[in-house]
Amino acid sequence: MDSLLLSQYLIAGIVIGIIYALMAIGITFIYSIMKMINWSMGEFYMMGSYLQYFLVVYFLGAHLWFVGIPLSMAVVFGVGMIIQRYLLRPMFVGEMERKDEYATVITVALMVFFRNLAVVLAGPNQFAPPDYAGPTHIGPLPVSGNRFVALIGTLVILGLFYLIVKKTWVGKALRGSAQNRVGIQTAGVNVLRVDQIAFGIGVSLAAAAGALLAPIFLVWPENGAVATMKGFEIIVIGGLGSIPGSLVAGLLLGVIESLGSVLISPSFKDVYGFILVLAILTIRPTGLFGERQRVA
Amino acid sequence: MSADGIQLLETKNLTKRFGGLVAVENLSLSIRRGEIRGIIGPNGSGKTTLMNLISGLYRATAGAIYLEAQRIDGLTPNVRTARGIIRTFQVPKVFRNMTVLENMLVPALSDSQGDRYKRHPEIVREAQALLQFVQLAHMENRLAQTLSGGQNQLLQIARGFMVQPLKLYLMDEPFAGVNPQIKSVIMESIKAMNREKGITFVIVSHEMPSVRRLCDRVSVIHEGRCIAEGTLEEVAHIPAVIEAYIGG
Amino acid sequence: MKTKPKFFFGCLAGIMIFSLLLFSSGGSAAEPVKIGVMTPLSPPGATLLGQFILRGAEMGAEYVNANGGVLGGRPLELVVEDDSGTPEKGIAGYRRLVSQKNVSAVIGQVHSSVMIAVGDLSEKLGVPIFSTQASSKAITEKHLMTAFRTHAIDPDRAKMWLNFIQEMGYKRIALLAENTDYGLGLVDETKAGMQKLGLDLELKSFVFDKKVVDLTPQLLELKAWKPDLLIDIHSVPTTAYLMVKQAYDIGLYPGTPILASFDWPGRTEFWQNLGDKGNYILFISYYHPKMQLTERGEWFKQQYHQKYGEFPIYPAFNGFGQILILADALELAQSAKPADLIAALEKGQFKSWNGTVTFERGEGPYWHQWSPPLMVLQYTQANQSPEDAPILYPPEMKTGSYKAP
Repeated sequence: MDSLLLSQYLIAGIVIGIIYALMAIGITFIYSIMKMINWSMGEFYMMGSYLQYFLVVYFLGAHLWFVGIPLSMAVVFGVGMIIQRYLLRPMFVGEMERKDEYATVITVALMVFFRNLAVVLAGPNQFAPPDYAGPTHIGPLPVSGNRFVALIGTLVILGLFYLIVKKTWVGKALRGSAQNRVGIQTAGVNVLRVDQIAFGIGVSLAAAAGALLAPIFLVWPENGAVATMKGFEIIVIGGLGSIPGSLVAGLLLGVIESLGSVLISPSFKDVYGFILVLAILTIRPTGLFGERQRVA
Repeated sequence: MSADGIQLLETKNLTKRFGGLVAVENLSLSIRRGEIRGIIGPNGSGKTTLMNLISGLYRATAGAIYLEAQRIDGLTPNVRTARGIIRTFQVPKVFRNMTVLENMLVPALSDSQGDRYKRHPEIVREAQALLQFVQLAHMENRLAQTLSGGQNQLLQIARGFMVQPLKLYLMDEPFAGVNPQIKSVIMESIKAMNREKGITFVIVSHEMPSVRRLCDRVSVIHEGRCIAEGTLEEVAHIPAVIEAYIGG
Repeated sequence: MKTKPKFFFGCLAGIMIFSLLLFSSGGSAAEPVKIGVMTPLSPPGATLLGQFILRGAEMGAEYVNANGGVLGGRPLELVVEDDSGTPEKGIAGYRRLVSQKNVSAVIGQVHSSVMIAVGDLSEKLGVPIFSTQASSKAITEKHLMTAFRTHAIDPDRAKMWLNFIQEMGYKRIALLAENTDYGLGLVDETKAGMQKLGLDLELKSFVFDKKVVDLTPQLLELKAWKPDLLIDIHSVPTTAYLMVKQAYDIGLYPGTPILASFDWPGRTEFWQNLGDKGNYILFISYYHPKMQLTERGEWFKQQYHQKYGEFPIYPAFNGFGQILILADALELAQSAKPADLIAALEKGQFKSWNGTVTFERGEGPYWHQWSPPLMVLQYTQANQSPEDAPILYPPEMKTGSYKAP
């Protein structure tokens, strides 16, 4: 195999892998604090992509696309806070049994609801916002400007996320809740409030992925499904609850899919990810970085 | 409850059942402001359940809890902490992936400290002073998971002193599995805080020598009920107490 | 449980009920004749095709009912079933339509893999099933009594592009095909057709999984092979749009022309999604807005435009047409029994939207098969409407020549 082509596959894999990781980090972040899986994560991705599309096309104009991303994130953050408050919080109040089942039922119901809502509000058609940037090159790979923007945007958002979690009071509350729920409560922190913020942040990361990827993977009611599936694969590989794990696993999955589909056979691209998942589950069932109660 | 405000904490007929098991039954306690009260009793007598009821991790099946004559048994744990009740756990609940100093800052997140942004440098200074006091200052940038069990107990206790306002400090087996040097640091800090800041302590412990040195009075809990109260010397001669310990 | 279960189960129930309301449709008068519309309405199916077919079928039923219904005033009632593009769901859905809803016929099939699976079952249960846009020849090759089609089949399509390739003088042809009956079937058909026609071509197939949204690695490999033409064989338009974008971004397209295996570039959303990047694409179509329609087809085109603010495209026309064919066949049979209906379908001549349809017992895949006219179109400028896209092939319909970027 020619080394130029090989490096092209590698770069393509890295770009897509880091973008996948954003989704996984949102899922794992919510899990690490609330100890529940949000199955409707893809619908928040979808919401982010629609918001971005409507903001850019109807209000901001193509040149202000970068203003749309934080705005979309902010709206989804708010929606997430409201959903947590009225639909998810009840499971943490009092001594409810089977929290997991409750969370699963609610978030799966939300998934169905939001998909249908999108069809009703915007129709079954796809949309795409105008391109964020023209084609460019990363080393030897001709790459779409949109992908490049998504890569940089993801890195910026992850950087901000890291700063918030590591350096602020809110971040301390988030980390404390992830590491020791009882400890943080008896230190006087309203853990339900922390949950609400965590859920808001987690879903706004999904929204960021949706908004950044809107010109690449388009906007339609089910566009979150693929991102969610990749997100869950990454979590299994990287370890549930581990943010560095999600990043590494995202890169790994992106590169393996890219190389596997051209070096072995292109017809089973999705299978390579699952083989990796199975291999990890066999060798290290908790994932590469899996450890209980860990964040950042 | 007392009208003169001498009583800081009172429980009235407090009962907690887990299914058919009665862990705490009709327990009434009065703790004076400024007191250091010991809670003793055989294993499984309901001491930790009592701590959990007062701190709010459990909801009582029946009965009431008053802090400064106000009912608090309907409040969540964090609200009780904001009202001035802190507790420690036998297995220290520290934040393993935070540094020692970061652990100390967590109580500043309490709802009662909304001015934390403004006071940030001051809070950090207080935390460092407390770490100095409990002889952990040299470790302030280490992750809590690298500390020994005894050091984590010390950290947990020191962190509790960061709560503001602090009225009632509940400690669950603070001396269990702790080396003599750390034990004496814990004892000194309890005495100092009681003397200087008037903080009331309720200490659950099996360590009779420590209880004798620290506590004004002890309450003996057996099968969820308070069977005796007085100085350690007084209760040690009550037949029911002797029977509980020997029988238990 | 010390929580407030009523409250959140109330919320939950609210969500569920609302979701159901979004999907449900109104009922109709007594003794209707029921027709099933089983089509992909959720992923991994081609949900847009399903939506368009459903729109067409609904307007077909409106047309029939507005004109007095069938069998002496009985209204047509559509029963909708979602097969998600998966054979398991298709089989379950067909069973439900036949045994619980008592439909006289089922239309709306899009995915060949589903249609093939359901075809075998339909032979046992006896209720006719129509391929609306599933094109594998295996469907009609089995000579099932119950399988019908009014859509182009793979040999038609492969022959179409082989002729076009010959005319253009292309030598190296890359087939980017999904790993389904549709994609692999067309690869085989192209190879067979090439031998039959004695063409000297280099063919290479690049197979991908249908669910994959990022084809960048395959396209890089394909680009390195330097083909004269890329034939894209996607069954789901969404991922096809993504492919064009990705091909553009790595500098493969439009330098190397892309020929789409069906008319997905003809949709309004094509330009919305691709903008300038979509220009110069070639595509196979069974419909051109300037083509002559029947009176019924013209009615549909106008009514659809009024209702949806855009002109209908092929799947909507075909969904509409099949309902009309069935209505006429019911009249001819004077019975709603599936067996009588099949007999009527075989002997009658039916006015659809694009011509007169018959279902003869033909040779090979041309059994119960009616193929619409095919053509190759090209967009020659960005945001062009399909109406203005020149027809490059066949020669008798030709209105323009290939325009290179």
